[in-house]
Amino acid sequence: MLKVENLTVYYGRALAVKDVNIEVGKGEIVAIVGSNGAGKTTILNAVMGVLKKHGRVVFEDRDITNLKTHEIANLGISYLPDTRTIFKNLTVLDNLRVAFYKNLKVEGGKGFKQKLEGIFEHFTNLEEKMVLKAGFLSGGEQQMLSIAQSLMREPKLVILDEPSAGLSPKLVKDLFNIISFMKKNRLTVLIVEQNVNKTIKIADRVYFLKNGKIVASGKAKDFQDDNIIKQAYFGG
Amino acid sequence: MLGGMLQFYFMSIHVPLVASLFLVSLIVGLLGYIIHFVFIKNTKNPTELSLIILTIGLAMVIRGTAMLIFGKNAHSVGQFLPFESVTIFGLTFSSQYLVVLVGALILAGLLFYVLNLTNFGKVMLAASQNPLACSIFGIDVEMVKSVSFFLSGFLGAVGGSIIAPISFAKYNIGLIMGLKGFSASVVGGFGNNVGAIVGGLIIGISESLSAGYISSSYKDAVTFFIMILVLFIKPSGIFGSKDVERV
Repeated sequence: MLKVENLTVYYGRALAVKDVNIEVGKGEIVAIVGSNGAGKTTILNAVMGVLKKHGRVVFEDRDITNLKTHEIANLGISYLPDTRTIFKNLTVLDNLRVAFYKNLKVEGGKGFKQKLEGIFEHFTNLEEKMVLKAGFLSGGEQQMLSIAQSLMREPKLVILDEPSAGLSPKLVKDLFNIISFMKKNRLTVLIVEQNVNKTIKIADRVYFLKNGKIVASGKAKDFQDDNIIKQAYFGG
Repeated sequence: MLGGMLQFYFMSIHVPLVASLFLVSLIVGLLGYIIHFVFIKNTKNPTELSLIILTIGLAMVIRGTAMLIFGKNAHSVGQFLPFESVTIFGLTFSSQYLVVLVGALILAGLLFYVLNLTNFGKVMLAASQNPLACSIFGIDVEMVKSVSFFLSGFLGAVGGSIIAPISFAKYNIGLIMGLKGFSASVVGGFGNNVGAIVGGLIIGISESLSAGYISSSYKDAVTFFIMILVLFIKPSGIFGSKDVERV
């Protein structure tokens, strides 16, 4: 479904990511793990057209390397960046409405209502705070709202950048339940996480990133042993 | 300024009032769209400061061009209504003031409707807060910005057209009007529709009172004195509030 070929990204003259190759198959959950500064977020931003890049990105056999972010999104890719996608001065409901805006033109208000009901089944606390401005939500609720926004669009591929960052253990548990739900529904997910153990448990395949390069990759179940993870991270 | 000047031009060639208002708004709205499309959109690594300097520069170019075309003199624009004055509750004033009042209410209502009650208005507000998030949701933010520039040109032109019979049309009239509009926004609170209206009323009434009780020479100074006062007491303006943020 998604192919990243020889991706190289520079920040000015500094090399951030070099010759990265990643493949995500339909219905798969693929994880990119690595320490801070390894280049995980850079890869996602480059795929989504937020950063300039060298190399090639293909989605559903279509070259999307030079497309703009909104054009890439409209192909059916939902992206949850680490900076969150909420609009603090709009209500929770309006946040979801803006996320659904492109579909609203096709599906209308009825489609929005139906989608909303589905979303609130998984995010009950958001339903209670529907008329509250998003800026008044707690950090965890804001993160949940961001995830709800990305699911509003019925994406073919969901890209998540450290969705568990800054969440309480309970919310992290809820979050991984939602990701498991995505897996059950054969949704394709590319996830970047620092929470290695939890991520490996739900992922089908995993890529280990170190200093902007892929140092190991393979089936997630092959990396469930801590020693293998350590070896992948630190070599040896 | 452009609204008033173009209104003067179209009325001088006997274009009917409604048609000239429509044409003026459309032309200035399109100019706003073009300014965004050609200059703002293509600015490399834009910052707030660089965009402010760019738009001030463009305003100077437009002002200079208007001066070359229409000359330095103030032009008289005819009143919109067939009667000179109206009397309400024993108060007699020029009929154009009534046009300005009704026009301002209609424009404010229109803007309120677009921004608060339409999906596109919500997208406009969202794009101003978090443009990256809007792009991620498949929204063409540059298109939204272009429409905003069209709308601001459109609304400014209607305002300029309807006030021209009172203020006269002159190439540099926009500068002081813009500064007073800015003062009204500061007093009322940026980003708040009601605040802008209340700020405008406070500035306008204070100006008139100071012209009557002190001297008309000081009326502009009073505007800026009020603005500075508000900045000292409540920098976010009367209706302004800090960005919603839970800590």
